[in-house]
Amino acid sequence: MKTFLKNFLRWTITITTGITLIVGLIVLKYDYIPANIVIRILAAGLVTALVTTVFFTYEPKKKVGKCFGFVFFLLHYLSMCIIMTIIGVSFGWFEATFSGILEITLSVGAVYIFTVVISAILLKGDADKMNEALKKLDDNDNTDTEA
Amino acid sequence: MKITIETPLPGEEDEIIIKMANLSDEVLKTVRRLKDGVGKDTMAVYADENIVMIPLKDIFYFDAVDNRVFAYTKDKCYETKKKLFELEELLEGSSFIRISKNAIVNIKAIDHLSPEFNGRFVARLKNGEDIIISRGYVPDLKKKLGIGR
Repeated sequence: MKTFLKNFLRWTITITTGITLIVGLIVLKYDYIPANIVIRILAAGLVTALVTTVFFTYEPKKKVGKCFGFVFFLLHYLSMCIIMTIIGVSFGWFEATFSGILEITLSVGAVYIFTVVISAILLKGDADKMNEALKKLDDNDNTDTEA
Repeated sequence: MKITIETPLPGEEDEIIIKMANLSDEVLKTVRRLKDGVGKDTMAVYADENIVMIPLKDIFYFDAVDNRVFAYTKDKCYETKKKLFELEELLEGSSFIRISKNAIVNIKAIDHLSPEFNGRFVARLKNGEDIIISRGYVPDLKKKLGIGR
């Protein structure tokens, strides 16, 4: 439960930041920004983060191939598009038309790329730190052997 | 020499009784091996029906499959009679760490780590094998490597 909540919080922060950037760009074309936009962005972030956390609870036992990874992320992306279509149309951010749906898929795509890039950078950073620590461990071992 | 193996009664502890007119060095060595099980630097494992003592530093990882636990060295596989949670307790404070529900790895056998699907990592071992480090166990690994909180 603790791990679930931690992951949920992490996804909420990342996705909400991405949504804020996209909505920020959308509202530039309007003369005023509604007062409830912050709550709405947070609500959208929380819902999508919850679905994302549940999605990524799935952990295959073996190493996964690129094909599986692609299908998994595609399903996740589609579910995000559906959720944001419902939320976006309800909040008046998009229209329920073909161009509105297109705008949603592109916006979700942009947020998706943003969150994937952030996650990849963070994970790579973790991997680099751990590899450095492993190398130090190896060097210490070799020094002990030589001694 | 007659060898008898009996199943203990329910609740009865496993016991080895050796009846010998004269205890030979060979038998004493075998007794010591059975008693020690997991020593400070060695571990008793099974290769077919034989008990073998292998240095812990040679074990790359333990893997549990179908209620059996196997110890993998660079190029060999042995069975151990211990459960994974027992090994985890016995090897606490050593270079071994639990990385998933089914595996314990020797961090000194890891060549490098790469991020994989869904926040978990793949550990490439020094013999070229890959094993998965589950997402939930990554914080413990970081702590073991001295980079976690």
